Amino acid sequence: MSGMASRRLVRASLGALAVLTGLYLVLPVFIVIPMSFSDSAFLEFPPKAWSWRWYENFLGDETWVSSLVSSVQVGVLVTLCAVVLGTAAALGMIRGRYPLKALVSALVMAPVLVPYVIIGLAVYAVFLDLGLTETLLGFVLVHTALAVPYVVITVSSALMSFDRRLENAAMSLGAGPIVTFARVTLPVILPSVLSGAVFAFVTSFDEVVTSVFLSGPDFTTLPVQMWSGVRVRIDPTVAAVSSMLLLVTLALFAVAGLARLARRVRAGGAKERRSS
Amino acid sequence: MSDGGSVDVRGVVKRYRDTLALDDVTLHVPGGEFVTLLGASGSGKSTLLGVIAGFTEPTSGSVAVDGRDITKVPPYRRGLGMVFQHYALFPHMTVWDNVAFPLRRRRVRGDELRTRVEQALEVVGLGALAKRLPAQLSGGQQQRVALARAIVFRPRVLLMDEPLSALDKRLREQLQLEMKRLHRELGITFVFVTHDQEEALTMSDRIALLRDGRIVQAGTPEELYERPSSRYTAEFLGESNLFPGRDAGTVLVVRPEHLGVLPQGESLPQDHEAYDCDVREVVYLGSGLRVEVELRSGQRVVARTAARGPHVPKPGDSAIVHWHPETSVVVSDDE
Amino acid sequence: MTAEAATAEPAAPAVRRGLPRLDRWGLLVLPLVGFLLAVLVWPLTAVLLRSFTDPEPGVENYLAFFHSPVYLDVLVNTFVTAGLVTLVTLLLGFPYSYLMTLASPFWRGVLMLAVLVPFWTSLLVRTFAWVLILRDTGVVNELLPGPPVPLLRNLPGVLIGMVQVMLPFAVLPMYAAMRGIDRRLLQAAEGLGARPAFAFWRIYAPLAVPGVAASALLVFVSSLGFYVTPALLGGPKNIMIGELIVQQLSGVLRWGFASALAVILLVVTGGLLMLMSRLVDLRRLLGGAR
Repeated sequence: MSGMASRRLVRASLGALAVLTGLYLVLPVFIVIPMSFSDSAFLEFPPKAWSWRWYENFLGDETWVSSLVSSVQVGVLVTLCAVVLGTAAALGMIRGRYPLKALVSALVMAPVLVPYVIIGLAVYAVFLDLGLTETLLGFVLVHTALAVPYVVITVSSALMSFDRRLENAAMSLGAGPIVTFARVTLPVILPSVLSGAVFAFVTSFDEVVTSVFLSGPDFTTLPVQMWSGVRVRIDPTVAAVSSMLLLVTLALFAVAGLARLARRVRAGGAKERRSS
Repeated sequence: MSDGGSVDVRGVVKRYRDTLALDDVTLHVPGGEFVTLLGASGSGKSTLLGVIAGFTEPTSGSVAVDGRDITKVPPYRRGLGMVFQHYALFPHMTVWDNVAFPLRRRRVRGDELRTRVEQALEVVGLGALAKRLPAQLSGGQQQRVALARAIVFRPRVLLMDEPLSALDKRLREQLQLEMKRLHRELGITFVFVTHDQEEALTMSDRIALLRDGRIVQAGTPEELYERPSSRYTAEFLGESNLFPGRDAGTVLVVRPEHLGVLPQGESLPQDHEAYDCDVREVVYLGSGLRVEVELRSGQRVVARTAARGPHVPKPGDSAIVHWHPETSVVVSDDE
Repeated sequence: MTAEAATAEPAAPAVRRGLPRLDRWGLLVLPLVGFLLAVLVWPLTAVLLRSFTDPEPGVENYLAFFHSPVYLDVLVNTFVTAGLVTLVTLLLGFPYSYLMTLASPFWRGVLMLAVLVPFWTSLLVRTFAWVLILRDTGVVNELLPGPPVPLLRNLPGVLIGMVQVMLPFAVLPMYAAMRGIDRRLLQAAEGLGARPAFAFWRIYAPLAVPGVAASALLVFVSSLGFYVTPALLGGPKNIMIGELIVQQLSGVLRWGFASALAVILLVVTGGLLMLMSRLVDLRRLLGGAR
């Protein structure tokens, strides 16, 4: 076989392998969407009869709906806390001088690196004594810890590329430190802060493991409810919930992608903006 | 006499851990003058500007504007205009908002805000681009916006940190002229930092040449060019030829345009000093000739002569290079 | 000028005595440090203490673990599963990343999107989808003729699920590393007479090793602590240590023993991470990922 031909063969088989891998990554998730419309409690594929019954089941069930509400509550509060704590810490870590730098970095990254089962166990033990299990506050505290590293990472990478001469310029033009931060620094790093916020929300909204430890009849989040709906016996409602989550997540990132695209177009093109 | 504030830097020292960025710098900038801080990179010129602007706190020494000590005043209360090397325009604001920024900080509102921003943009010729974002402007346009933003609040002193270094040669020369014009029209004090000696010579009323955190020499461009006090100054500004001085530790500086080249055997003008040499290279410059000769010692010397005349040198000629002693300067050899 | 100042100032001195002091910016780190000390470090310390004190002081819990073949099997199974996941992930991820460096911008975008979609979809949703696909009455077995092939509650099921979760974590850093390799080296080697396969293995592969090693360690370490996927897709024969911890707690309330298990998992994870931090900048790896 000639060198050219064998190279083409290698490329073709590489391509085939990559396509199969890509399908393996993407396709299986979407199977839940058609199945969620199955009329049967066994969720057969392809569905023999179609219906909205699992969606109706979700909306009609108090425990499902309240777990969704709890998840949104936790997610929003976690986003706020993680963005404030994480942005402040990123500013300090990039610009500040403080003792034990390596240790502090390790601590900030620890929530991503320590297995969630261990965090769940550890927090459960302490929160049980403090009466924080099955409470909104308990969930917010733990999820904030899990989400905050993502905010620190996105914001500190933005700060590293931030041109500090902009701050000097603002000061030379008469802006004090607070105005300079509010009018110049924050707006410039805002896209990264927002993407950190999205990370934080998604981290909290998806979190299963630590939540399983903390939840109970008094307070349960959506993933925990789903967890109990698949752990022992499959509740077909989970398929409906999964499909909705899937669409919301994808829509969120489509919006984020479009926003980024729009910003690039606005910066590059000659579009005009109202001045004052 | 003018709207410009005077700047007085007294005994300023700036020490970073193990390096001395400024070593006892004292400088007086009279109100309304165009003063250039000139120096190679690392000479401390930008650090000095930072000390005046208030971004860099001096280890010791003081800074005063119009006689008022501002050493402890934060930059945002100094009221000095500043133009930065890479413009430092706020990327998320339009040209208009960038220029309005310092006025809004000063609580200027409504019609006055609008007229003053428009005026400032007119002055730099950018009225039509008010609604653009900085990213949509060319380098030269961005620099003009930075200028407009720095003068719109009518500071009495304008500081500029290598504002033209990122532009190409043609644009740079055009903006040099515009800045001269602006300086004349506004009547305020300009403190300009550059490493480009030509730029310094063409633009300044006065130049302070810095080296290793010290001011080597300060004076008018003519003084620095014609009467350098040291070999460093002579070599940094313009082309110069160095000959051994009579006393140890001194050298004789002669500018190329003061040197003449005569064929061997021609009689020298009265009192001229001279060396025997061989002509090595002759380059036609339009305005004259650039003649490079080699002395018997092997040293190369450059002369600028008229392109026409009885004796046009050619490469290979044996010649005499000569000058009038009054055109030479004896300086300390600080190299 | 400030740029000069900014670079001159932090230029670390050759010898630093004592700890650097806290400056005003540094203060901003404190709230998060305090928060994490309270919500993370304190509980983890409590776990460590508890593993030596509950039910009574001593190393009983650790002895119980290391003397019981049942529990040791769980540890072995955890390592074997994580190892297999790492192997399969690399076997699929390496050619995938390599192809990304060769593909046209459009196809590179498509391949990247395929990696990012599962990255962004809920882990639970994805695992649930696998349950629907792999169970005896699931999509695969419906489509296949004959008696159902067991794909769920066993090792293949766990592997299928976990590899899909870990692939993005492997592909992103590997692609980043491979993108930095100058492909002209390959052409040069072939120009000098090396056969393409030889050139690839002797020139390209060694340059890709650091990126691959970093990915492998990241995948392995993350796999050790998995809970959701093995709990749903695995069977009673392939329990991983994460599940054992939950079992010991929710089933039999053996707090001390569960704590000891957590300490063992934490020590192994931490040790591997320290090894990894010598190979690669962790924050960059995670920053490039999610």
